[in-house]
Amino acid sequence: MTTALPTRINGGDLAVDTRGLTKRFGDQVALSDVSLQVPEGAVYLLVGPNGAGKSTTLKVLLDLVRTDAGTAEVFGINCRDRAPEVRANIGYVPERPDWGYGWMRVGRLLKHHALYYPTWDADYAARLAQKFELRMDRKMAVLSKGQARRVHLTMALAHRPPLLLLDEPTDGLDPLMRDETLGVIADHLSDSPTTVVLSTHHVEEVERLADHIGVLRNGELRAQMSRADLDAGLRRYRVEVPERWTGAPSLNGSVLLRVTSAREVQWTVWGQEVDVVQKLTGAGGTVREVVPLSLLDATLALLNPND
Amino acid sequence: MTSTQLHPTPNARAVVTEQFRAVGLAVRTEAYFYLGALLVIAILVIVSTIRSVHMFPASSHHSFVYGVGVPVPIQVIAFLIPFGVWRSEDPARRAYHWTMPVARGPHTIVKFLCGWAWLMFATVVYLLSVVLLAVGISLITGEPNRVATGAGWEWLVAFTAPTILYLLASIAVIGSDHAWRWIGGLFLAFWVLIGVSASFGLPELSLALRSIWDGAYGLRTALVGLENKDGPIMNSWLVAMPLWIIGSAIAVTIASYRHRE
Amino acid sequence: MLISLDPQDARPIYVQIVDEVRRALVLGTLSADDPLPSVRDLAVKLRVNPNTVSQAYRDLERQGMVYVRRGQGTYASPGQQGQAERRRLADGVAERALHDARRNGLSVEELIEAIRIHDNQRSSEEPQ
Repeated sequence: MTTALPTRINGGDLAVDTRGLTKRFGDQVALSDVSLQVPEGAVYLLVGPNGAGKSTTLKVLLDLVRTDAGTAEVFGINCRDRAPEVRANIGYVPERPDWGYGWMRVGRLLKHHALYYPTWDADYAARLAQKFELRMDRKMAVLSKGQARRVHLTMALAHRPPLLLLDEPTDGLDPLMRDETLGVIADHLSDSPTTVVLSTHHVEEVERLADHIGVLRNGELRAQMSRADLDAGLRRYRVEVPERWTGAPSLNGSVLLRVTSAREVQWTVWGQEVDVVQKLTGAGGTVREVVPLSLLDATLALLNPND
Repeated sequence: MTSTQLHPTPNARAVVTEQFRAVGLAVRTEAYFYLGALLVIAILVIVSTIRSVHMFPASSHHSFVYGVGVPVPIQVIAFLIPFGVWRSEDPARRAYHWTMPVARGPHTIVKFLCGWAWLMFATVVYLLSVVLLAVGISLITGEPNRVATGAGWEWLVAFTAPTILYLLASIAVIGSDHAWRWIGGLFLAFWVLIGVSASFGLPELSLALRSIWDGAYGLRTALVGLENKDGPIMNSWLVAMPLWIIGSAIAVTIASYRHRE
Repeated sequence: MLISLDPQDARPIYVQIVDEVRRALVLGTLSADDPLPSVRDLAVKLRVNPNTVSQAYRDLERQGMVYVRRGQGTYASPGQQGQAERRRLADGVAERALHDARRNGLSVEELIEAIRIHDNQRSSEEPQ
């Protein structure tokens, strides 16, 4: 029996609900049947290599990209038919730093943005600007990538949107500012009811914030689940095995990563621990160690194309 | 269903007001250049008139006054201003404009109309400067004020001609990632085609093409009116002008509503 | 009281927070009726999801280690510095040591033996 990775998140109201998103750019498949479920109040981490479809998925929600098939809803509102309403509820930090009017000064751009979002909290915006050390009199076009990102974060957070879409929010920030940004997000979550979908390459940075994870590869959603399910279902097993061991056929399909040497193997397996240990023992191995994985290691395992 | 308290979209009037202000800011540099140019021209005209009055006290000096019918400076501005209105927002990068919580088609048209409103404001400034200059010169020379002698409809041309040029340039800027390439390419292709068809024995095609520019309902007619030996005449302009405005307005609308990725 | 997380520790974060509070209670850096940091302050300080902190605090409350004053915050319960808490803390240490021992193929007896020997060596080395 093989245990397939979970690709559905059940229960509760969904902030983001997509069904079968499929998108081709020319002959390149950007998204292939992506059905994302982000529960309300979740901090959902979208991970995957470059070109896996993370940014495209976020853009579909903003109606910046239109799919060839599938539907997307945010808080039950169709992202294409009622796009302005959807966007009114989203704070977006795009991947590209040249977002916003390059010729505008930072202070004026914030004011401009504020007028489009009736829930804009000017005091909060001022506090964020201070925390992010924004230079209000600089023109957007002359800002470094990191400076622009901080302006974008202020723009996204200050209207306290029900949904935050953060595409590589810490990209281009120095380590100190990265840390500050994570603190700002934690602070924001404390007093604003927010759902966050965050795409990043720096999994270890946001490990402590994320409570859901979705793994994209080549436009396919390989797995998505809550952190609790991930912590319960994924383990690394270190097993002493007899010489010329042929493996554990009953675990085929559940082993995500195999590191093998002559007398010892280290397998990352999806499944209930008791069950897996039993199967490994049944196959003649002696389980020496069972460890839970850090989110980064879990991500790497889930992305591994083997099996 | 959702338990989340959803946020409203912005008030339409607030969006229009803010776009008007933002577009004004976007074209501020152009506006300064424009005002500077008007000032330089005015000074040159006044200085030349004064010198002329001193050197040839006997002859007439009204030739220094420029008329309202062919407001060239404002036409140049009209054609360039869409690039300012959409500065750093060509369609491929129109991400910011497109992520706003408003319907994109109408929002694009609002921005377009705000640019047009500023253009009309610039036109009024231009006409005021012409009138002031004419009054000033008639004071210096003691001759009657020539500006008032232009035909009434020629004052309207001062508004419609820049509108047409603004529309035409806006089609390219709103609709394409490489507005200058399209404008340059079309311009070049147009004249090359005319030249080629004329020299390869297709005078009908050449003439037909030419009429787009200076035919009875061509662009030139729409801009300034068809001229005969007595100056521009109104009738053909009255047809060509709305024709070009409506045609290009439809094209701008189509460009505004097109979904780009 | 100082609450910090070990980045190498793969246990769920809320478990680590619970253990840190338990440790503070046993060591006495957190005394009865002392306030715990607010969920928000701790979440910001540790850069963790506030829900995780809430979960840890709920867990602590269920275990009776802390109590909540409505609208004021979370406080350490009195009488939590006793033997029971010391035992639980020792449990955790033992579990980690056993885990390490098993990984290295050592039996419980070998581990206990090694701990005794090591401890004796250290106390004889330490200057009085």
